[in-house]
Amino acid sequence: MESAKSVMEPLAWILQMFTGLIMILLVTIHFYVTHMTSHEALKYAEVVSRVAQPEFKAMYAVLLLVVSLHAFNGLRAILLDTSAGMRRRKAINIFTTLAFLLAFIYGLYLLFSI
Amino acid sequence: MSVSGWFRFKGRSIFSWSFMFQRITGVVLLIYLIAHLTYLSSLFDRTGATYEGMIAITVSKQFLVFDILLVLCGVFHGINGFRIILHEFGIAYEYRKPLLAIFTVIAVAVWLYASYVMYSLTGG
Repeated sequence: MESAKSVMEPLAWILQMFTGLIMILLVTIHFYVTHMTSHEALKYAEVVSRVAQPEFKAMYAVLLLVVSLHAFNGLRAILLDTSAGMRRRKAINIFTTLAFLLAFIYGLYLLFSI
Repeated sequence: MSVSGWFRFKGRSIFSWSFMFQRITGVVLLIYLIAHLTYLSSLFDRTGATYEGMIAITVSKQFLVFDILLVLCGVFHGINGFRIILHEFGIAYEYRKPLLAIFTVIAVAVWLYASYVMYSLTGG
């Protein structure tokens, strides 16, 4: 089968599938709330009030974790699937891990600051 | 498959096409994730003025086409990814070809519905 499995380690592939499944649920909820309920859902006051609710805050923290992990693990697979990437496996692993941590920590900081 | 192989047209199977689209949509969504986090930095301005100024652009009718294309990427990536996971667990592996067609139709249907609702909400 053609998938990222061909270049990922078994644990990385399991994580990619697991985070993908969680994202299908959480991204659908996020998209439904922000884009399909009301035009007002994206107003500043609405966003701040939504994020202040503990259940939404928790959901967004989990979403941020799985999205960042899935995105940069996926990028890692794409880069490793090139001949240049195969030669620089360690550098790509370090770069994508740092990018994941940066996106996740910055997003969390944003989430708990507003 | 190397990145240059994504754009090879001759002698490709439909699974190879879906794999290529999975990767292209994945890259688009990664770029969007970075842009989204950057954009949300406007929430640091507690008056809301910066955020409201930016959101006015992104919810405009002129911007809707980008939103709709982004939704296409997200819906295809999610639904096609779910199909890959099903096969990974050995579910309906013998029906790979029809399932790819069915999931593509579902993705298009979900995308059209979401686009219609978004268009309606922007006063279309």
